[in-house]
Amino acid sequence: MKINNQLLKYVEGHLNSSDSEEFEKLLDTDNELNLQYEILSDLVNNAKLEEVPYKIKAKSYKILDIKDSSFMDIVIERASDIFKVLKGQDHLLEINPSFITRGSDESLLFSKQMNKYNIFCDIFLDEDKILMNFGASNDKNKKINNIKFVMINDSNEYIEKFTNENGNTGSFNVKQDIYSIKVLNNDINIGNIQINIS
Amino acid sequence: MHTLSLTQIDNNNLLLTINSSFFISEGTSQSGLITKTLKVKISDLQSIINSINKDALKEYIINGSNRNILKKLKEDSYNLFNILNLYSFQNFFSCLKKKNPSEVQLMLDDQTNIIPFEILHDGKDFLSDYIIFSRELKDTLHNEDYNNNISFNASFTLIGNPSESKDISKDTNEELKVLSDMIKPLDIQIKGPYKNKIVDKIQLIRLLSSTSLLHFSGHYIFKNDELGWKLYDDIFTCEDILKVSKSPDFIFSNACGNSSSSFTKFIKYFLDKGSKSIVGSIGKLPSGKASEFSNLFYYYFLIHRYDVGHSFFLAKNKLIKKYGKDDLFWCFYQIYGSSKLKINKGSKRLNNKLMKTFKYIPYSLLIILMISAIIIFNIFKKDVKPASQKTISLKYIPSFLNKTDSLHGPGNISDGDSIALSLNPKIISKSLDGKIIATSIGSIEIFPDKIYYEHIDNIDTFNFGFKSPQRVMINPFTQSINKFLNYNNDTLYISYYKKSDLNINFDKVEFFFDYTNSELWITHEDVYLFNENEGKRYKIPINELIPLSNQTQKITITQLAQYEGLYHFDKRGLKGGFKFDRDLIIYIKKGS
Repeated sequence: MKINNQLLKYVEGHLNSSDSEEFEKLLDTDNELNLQYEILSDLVNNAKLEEVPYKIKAKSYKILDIKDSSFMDIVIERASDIFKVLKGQDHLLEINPSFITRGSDESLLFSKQMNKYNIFCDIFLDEDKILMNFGASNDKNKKINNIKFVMINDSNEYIEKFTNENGNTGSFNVKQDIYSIKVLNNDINIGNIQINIS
Repeated sequence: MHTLSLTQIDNNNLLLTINSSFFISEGTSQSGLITKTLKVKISDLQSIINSINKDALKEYIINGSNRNILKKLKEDSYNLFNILNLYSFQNFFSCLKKKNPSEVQLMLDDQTNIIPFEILHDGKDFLSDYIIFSRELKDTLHNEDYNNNISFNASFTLIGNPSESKDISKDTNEELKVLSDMIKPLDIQIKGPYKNKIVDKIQLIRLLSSTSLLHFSGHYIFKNDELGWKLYDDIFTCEDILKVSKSPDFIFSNACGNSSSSFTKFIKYFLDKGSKSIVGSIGKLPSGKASEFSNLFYYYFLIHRYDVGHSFFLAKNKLIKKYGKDDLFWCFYQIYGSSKLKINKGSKRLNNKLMKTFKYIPYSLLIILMISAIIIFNIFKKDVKPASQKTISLKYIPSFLNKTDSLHGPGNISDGDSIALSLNPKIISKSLDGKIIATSIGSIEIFPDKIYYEHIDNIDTFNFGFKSPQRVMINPFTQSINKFLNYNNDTLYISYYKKSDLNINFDKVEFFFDYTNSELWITHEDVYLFNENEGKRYKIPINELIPLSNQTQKITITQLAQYEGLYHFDKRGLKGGFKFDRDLIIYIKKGS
């Protein structure tokens, strides 16, 4: 166990010079250890790091009592023609439309600032269908093009959407499900959204 | 009529068929029919259709008119036009454009009905800029009665806000008020307006079964897996339509709608039950604009007796002109069934016959007939409308605060016509002395120039012509002649002036010019009075006219003798040509 720990520290360059020299002597004499070293150093130097799923990250944050400011957690319940917001009220924006319309208009607009970007999530009903539309703007309220939203639901179905010149992805149908959404700009994660629609 | 059919063959293919005489004249098809299979999945089109039908309209409802929304809409609509291979029929669309507006019947199934053909863009124009589309749904049970005419004595039922929704009650009340005022003087039987919760499901079924035309102004909703017109604590659904014995020939559903299969079903059930033409919407209809559009539509449909398609097209264009293309209200409406449906011009034909008859009757007999007619008219006053009455609604005046305004009338307004104006009491207060109409906003007054006011049976009637004096304003500095009231074909132009403004800024000169059919012309210095019949010409310097006027109440021909000259027709350098009979009042603009 001690040797394994030392091997990891050596590969990651955390040993001081005398310990390092001593460990190198050991490597020269122990073939099995040498093999372990080669595998581990290849893994550390060449393996592609996989991003930790947000669920695990969120759990870690919770254990460590870290508040993630770029995370929007929304839980809504649909009852026929209305939505009930169970979680995420703080992110809910009040919409005052320019026109009164002649139909039922159940629409929720959530917003959160994530790393200098204002990220929007519009959820609305169209008869029996639920539609979602994501949007992004910068701190000067300028609509941002090409922000990527990667959605994975509980059944591991994958949806990818990009914002257009008008700063939105366009609306698309979603089911009642739990969605983990990564928000990326040039493949750099700028925030995360979790939406639970029951 | 050209037809464009788009139906789903299977999950991966659509069948596009265009039937047009243009193809025969072009020589591209002997039968006029061109068919194409498109390898397009309807499910793949969903996101671009959402972008047009839902996102653009939703953004308009939230943020109002916006150039960026229109720009994005154009892009998406042009993309969809190309995806549907319509670019390969550019010649067909060019031919349609030449005959603006052309009529195209769309034959669609419940899958392809989601495609917003009206909002597609051909790269230069939206298709509905030059095409009147009407939608026919596949498998609709066609009524055997293909007659596209509604009898002129048809009944018209008006229904407003049966859900008693506060948000739209002002708009729907106003909408029905204007509409019922418009119908009252016409040869159409009005039923209602039925408002609020008295319109329950049973009442609505009965009303739908017993009318030729129906206007529904209210909410369309989805609740508890049911959708339809919103009633008070209830919803009028497709199942209820099945209970209607015969659906009205024409329905205007001035409520929200959409392009979903459920809404298509709602419309289709009415068509199956006998409706020939339905105007509906595809989105969350903005309530105020909905009222304005429908009233304008009816102005063309009921008063001008245009068919549904042309009334729709004209009303839409009129509002686009008023609000601009950025105001996307024009995207909301669609016509289902026939666009050719129209109301017969019953009373107008009667008028023409009467006019022809009168032409050959000696004047003495005519006078006897007229006296008899007046007696009969007074006996049956409540039931008989004046034979030549036409109607204009003042509702369409944009603002009474403007100095000049125009009213669009029933077409070819001419001297002697009796015009019934449906006045909006909130805007106008009237004096009943037949002289002045004053708005309640400020103290603006209309001079009843060549127009006389009467108030009979709650209808404000204005008679044109024949009575003097006529009034005209002239500005010698700009050589302009402005009439207080003018008409040109179907448009009545009214100018408003404050009396106090006139007294301060104008000199008033009144003539008694002994002849009919005279003309007034002006230059910078002179006023000319011509009478061709008598071969008379008077040229009066303006600086002499005003002192002359101060000497007498009315200037007569005797006083003008010194200004009489040789009559000639050369009017070069002169401005005007204002026609008058005998009495004339000229307001001459003073120098500043």
